[in-house]
Amino acid sequence: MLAGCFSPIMGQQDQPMLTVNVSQASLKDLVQAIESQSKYHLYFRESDFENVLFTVSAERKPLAFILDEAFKNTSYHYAIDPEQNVFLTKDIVITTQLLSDIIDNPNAIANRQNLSNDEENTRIAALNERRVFTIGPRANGKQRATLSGTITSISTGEPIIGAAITVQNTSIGVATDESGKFSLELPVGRQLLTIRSLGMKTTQRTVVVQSDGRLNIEMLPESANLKEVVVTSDRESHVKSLQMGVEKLDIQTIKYIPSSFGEADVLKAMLTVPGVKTVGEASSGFNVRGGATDQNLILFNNSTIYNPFHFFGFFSSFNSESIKSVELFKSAIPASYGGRLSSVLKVDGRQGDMQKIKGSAGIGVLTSRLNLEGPIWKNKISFLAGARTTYSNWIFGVVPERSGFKNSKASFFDANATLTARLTDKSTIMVNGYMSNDESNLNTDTTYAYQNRNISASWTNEFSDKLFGEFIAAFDHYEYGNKSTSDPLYAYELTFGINQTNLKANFTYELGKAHTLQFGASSIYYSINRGTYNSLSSQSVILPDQVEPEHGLESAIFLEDEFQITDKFSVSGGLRYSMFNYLGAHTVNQYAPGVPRSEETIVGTADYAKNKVIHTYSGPEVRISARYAVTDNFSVKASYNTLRQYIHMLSNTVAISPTDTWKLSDPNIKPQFSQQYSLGVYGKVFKTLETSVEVYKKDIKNYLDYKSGAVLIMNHHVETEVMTTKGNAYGAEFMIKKPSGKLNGWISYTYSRILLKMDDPIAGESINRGKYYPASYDKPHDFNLTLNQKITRRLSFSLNTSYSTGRPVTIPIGVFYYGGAPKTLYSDRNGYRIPDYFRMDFSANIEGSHKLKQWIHTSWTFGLYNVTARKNPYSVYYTSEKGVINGYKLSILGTVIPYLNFNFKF
Amino acid sequence: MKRVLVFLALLALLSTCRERFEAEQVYKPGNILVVEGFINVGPGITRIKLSRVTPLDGVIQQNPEPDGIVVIEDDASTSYTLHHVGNGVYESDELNLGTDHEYRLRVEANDQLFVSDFTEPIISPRIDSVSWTRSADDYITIAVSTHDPLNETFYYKWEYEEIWENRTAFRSSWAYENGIPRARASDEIKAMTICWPRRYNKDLLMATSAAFVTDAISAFPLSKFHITDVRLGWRYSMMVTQRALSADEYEFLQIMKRNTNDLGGFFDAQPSQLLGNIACTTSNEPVVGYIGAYTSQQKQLIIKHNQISDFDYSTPCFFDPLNGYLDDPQLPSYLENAIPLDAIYGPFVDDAAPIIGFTLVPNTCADCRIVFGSEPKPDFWVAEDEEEIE
Repeated sequence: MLAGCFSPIMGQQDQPMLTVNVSQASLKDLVQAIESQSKYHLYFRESDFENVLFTVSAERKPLAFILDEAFKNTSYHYAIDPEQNVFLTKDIVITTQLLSDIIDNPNAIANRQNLSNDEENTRIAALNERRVFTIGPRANGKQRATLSGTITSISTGEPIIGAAITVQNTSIGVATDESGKFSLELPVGRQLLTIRSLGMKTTQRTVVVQSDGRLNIEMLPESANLKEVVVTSDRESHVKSLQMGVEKLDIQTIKYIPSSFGEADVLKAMLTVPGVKTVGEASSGFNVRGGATDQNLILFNNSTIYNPFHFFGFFSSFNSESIKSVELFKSAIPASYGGRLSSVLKVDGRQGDMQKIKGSAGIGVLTSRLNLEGPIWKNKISFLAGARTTYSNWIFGVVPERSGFKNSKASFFDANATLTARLTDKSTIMVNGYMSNDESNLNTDTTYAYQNRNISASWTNEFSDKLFGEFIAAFDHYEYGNKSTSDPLYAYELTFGINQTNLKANFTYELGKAHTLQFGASSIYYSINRGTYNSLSSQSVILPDQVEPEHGLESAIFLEDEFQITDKFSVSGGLRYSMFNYLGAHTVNQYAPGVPRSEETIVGTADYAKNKVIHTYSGPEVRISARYAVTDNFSVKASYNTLRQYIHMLSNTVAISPTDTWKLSDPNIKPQFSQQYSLGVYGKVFKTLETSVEVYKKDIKNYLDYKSGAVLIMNHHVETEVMTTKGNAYGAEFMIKKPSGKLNGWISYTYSRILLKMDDPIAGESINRGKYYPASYDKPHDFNLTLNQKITRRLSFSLNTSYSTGRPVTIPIGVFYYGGAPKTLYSDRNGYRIPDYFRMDFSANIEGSHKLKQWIHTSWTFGLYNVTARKNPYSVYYTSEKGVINGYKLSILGTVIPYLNFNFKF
Repeated sequence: MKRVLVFLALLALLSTCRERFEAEQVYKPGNILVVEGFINVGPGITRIKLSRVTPLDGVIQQNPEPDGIVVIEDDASTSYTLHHVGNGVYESDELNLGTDHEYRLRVEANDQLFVSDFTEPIISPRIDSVSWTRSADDYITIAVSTHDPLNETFYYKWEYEEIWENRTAFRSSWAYENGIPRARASDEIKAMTICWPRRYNKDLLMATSAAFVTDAISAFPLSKFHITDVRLGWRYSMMVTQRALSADEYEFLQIMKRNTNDLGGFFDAQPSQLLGNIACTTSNEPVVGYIGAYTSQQKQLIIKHNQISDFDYSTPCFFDPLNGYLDDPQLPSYLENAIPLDAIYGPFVDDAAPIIGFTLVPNTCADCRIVFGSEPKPDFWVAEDEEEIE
């Protein structure tokens, strides 16, 4: 198929047959082998063939065959003239025949200009795999040297994050950072590097290491369009990576996971990995290893996203067309991150293509999305912009009156933009912008709305082969609220918001043979609008009110050392010191010590001036992890982590909702603290199956739960409504993953518990008589199966199955009469469970034609969500009907939902 | 295809989202005591109701506790005992408790002692008005307005008793008992024709002005019914009792209301434990109740049917009576649900016409006591109204 195989016409009769068997040989060796068996004379320019190795295996074949074989997928050409002179050239095609011959045989000319970019890239990639790269000048006496560089995508120029580089016959390995940079310490001499990354073809580089030096590596994306290249099955695996408790999904994988309404959903896909749970389909937020929904740090291109969902949790608010991958840290959290107890979810957007303008779009039942990208200045500056919107309002327009949703409205959109400027080979500036908007009412007078607005800028620079730095400035804004204007007398608007300004500097430094140091500092300035209540009409009797805004400064410095003790044993030790200053201007309530806090026990207030430090909390956070590779296919990892959280979401509901309020730690509300121990074993069996078992135990201190009937909204003394509890979470996570092959996917099972116990001596009331009780998202058993079966190159089927224990609820246990009507009496907090959750989804993915020159590539996804139509309860509730109190299960998506999605790229 | 998708998407969002759910009861609520009422400060009687929580299976019914001892105590150790008047209701004598003491309630039941916290009486402001309005779709809304000139009440609770005059569509002049016709006396006819049913509100009616600029409640709706409702047939009275609430009791009742009414939605709070101000002092047996001390205010609203211009009371009895003859073997079975109005006479025999049958209507159309009982005529309906009736 490749037009690069220029085959001159020769008289068949006088062709000598040659036998050549060389492997990884230089051109000189190859030439010698040919010339020794024939009268051919081979001419070439030595500099064109430097460092290139060839492998040919031919038994009694003509020369043309041998050279075709040797030069396959390269930019080398040959020409054989009738005098048996052979000209070997690079990039240039020599014609040794008369013009007439060429006219007779137009195929004889390979016109390079007709080659597509993809083909060209394939050729370059294949060539680089054959070359030998010499690293650094010759230096005597050195045993080891540092090799650093950047790994980028050959087709888009984007850096590849998290690509794994391993060195053959050693346990040396490293992964690239957020800018695609890597640095690794190697023994001098000839080494074979293997580079793997999700969504990219595995590639290899042969290096001869002499002393410290650089090597930039370009990887070719895996694509159905280029079937000439063998896809290796050996991907980045848990067995070899140094980190533990990291789950990474790339967008290709995510797109094959069936989802409601066919939206490729980065966050819903994360729910299929062990240790991540949600309380139901219509709930924003997720729970990681017994953590609350506010204990996840969600970063989208360095911006903190406070509400990553649309429409109360049906869709995640990230446009799949702009996303490269999602990565979740759930046990060993790198020291450079902090501020949340449970996890760090990194959503990495793609960077714009540096070569050409491209686009993609998708049309679904409820939403449409569009993405455009391309160079502004080729190879220097690129842009990427994506947007998505819904037209779901039509659904509510056509529903019958009695459904109760007739007058509902739901509208949302999100948009993101990325500008990448490659200043030099070593220095890149990126600017990211993101916004999302939601506004809906569920057939009530009340409209709920929320918005994310984020902007971030980063500069990454390689100061030397060993020192690499990243500087980030970001501004994040989240606001939400509700309003009602139907009755002018009571028209109101209630708004909340968070503004935060972040500055962060991260450095990576290669120290000596085996140490990789990460260090840096970060600071976040928070301003929180804890509630503003306004009347919306001139007649309104609403008394405007505002909970005094809060300000705080969260700062941290960190140092982490990744120490490769031996090839098999490595440890990473990190220390993060975080400090939180609660800042004025603010009036702080002071309570009588040792008695339950209530309005009556306020003994005074203290006023603080603007920017005055009111209270400071600080403390070290320890991040230790270790890995021991027993064999190439079996490793053991352990980690110990402590974390602190200074910002809390106060919510009386189970899910993130637009009525939650965010609150900083203050003199009356202590920061939350957690420590987690985890241990994991990772093995590779039958060559293609990755298996892992991780166990963990986590203690949480100062976890906030609420007093009965707590009023959290517009409360000027919210500390009287909350109480601290002690959390005890533990679990075991099992996973078997087949990352590649025609049938691929994973099975995971998690057993986990999260139990809370009120330990606030001054709460004034005791929940469940002071005993341990399950948190509202405690779901002990969780099973997931995600499979994708490729039938042909263009057709594949996906299946997703999940089962989990029903979540705990507090339900009525008795009835009494009060005020002449029956009233319900409730059980202990979370004393019962709703029925178990089970769902099976199915989808078929059809890729359009793969013709290379087609200007548009299409794909279709047809799916069935909840194939068994099980009515999974989201919650239970009780109503009094004809003198009997009846319990009902409320299911949100209680039927089969077929969907169809059409995507195209151009 | 598109239509199909639309349809299915709709189904997905909206169809059969709810199903019955029955949790396995692993914990029985036992016999938790419920104490309801308040200490009535100022002139009047205090009424306290004791009942027991019934487990959540089968039909809900009232479960009164008749065997309690209920005593009001003040901070000067004076006590006033309440007497059981039936149905778990305990009443004090006519007292005039002063506002200068704190009060609490002591309840002994089932060998346990329950005591409420001492509470300072709260003075309830006067009711400004109880008024009614008629909406475009012909509903009558009765609403209460009040304000506290001192700006210190903020929490209000209302109870009401409604009494209306009910008149049957037909008058029964005859009775036919054991095969013997009997002409009814005029008093009997009157008692069957006019009833004065009484009803109490069956909801917790409360409101707060805490979020408003002034301590005033404007037109808080108490009741709403259509103009064809039986209550508006002749004349209707609503006696509204208003009392202040402490913020704590308001919260207690709010939680009770919320726990009962608003659960299961997207943003509904988790149910909460009810925290009253009464506790068991002899064991840690739970108890439900909040006992405050308040004065109360009353105001009455009267609506006459002619105040509603195009009065349209619909009775189910607009039809012609049917004739039931004495020799009809079906007559006894007719009379199970029907009542005689007037006699049907046969041809004269010896100057007198014998009764050969009766005109009949369903018995509820000529005897209101069957549905509404025989409550006495309220004093506030004066004699001059009487003539209007006749």
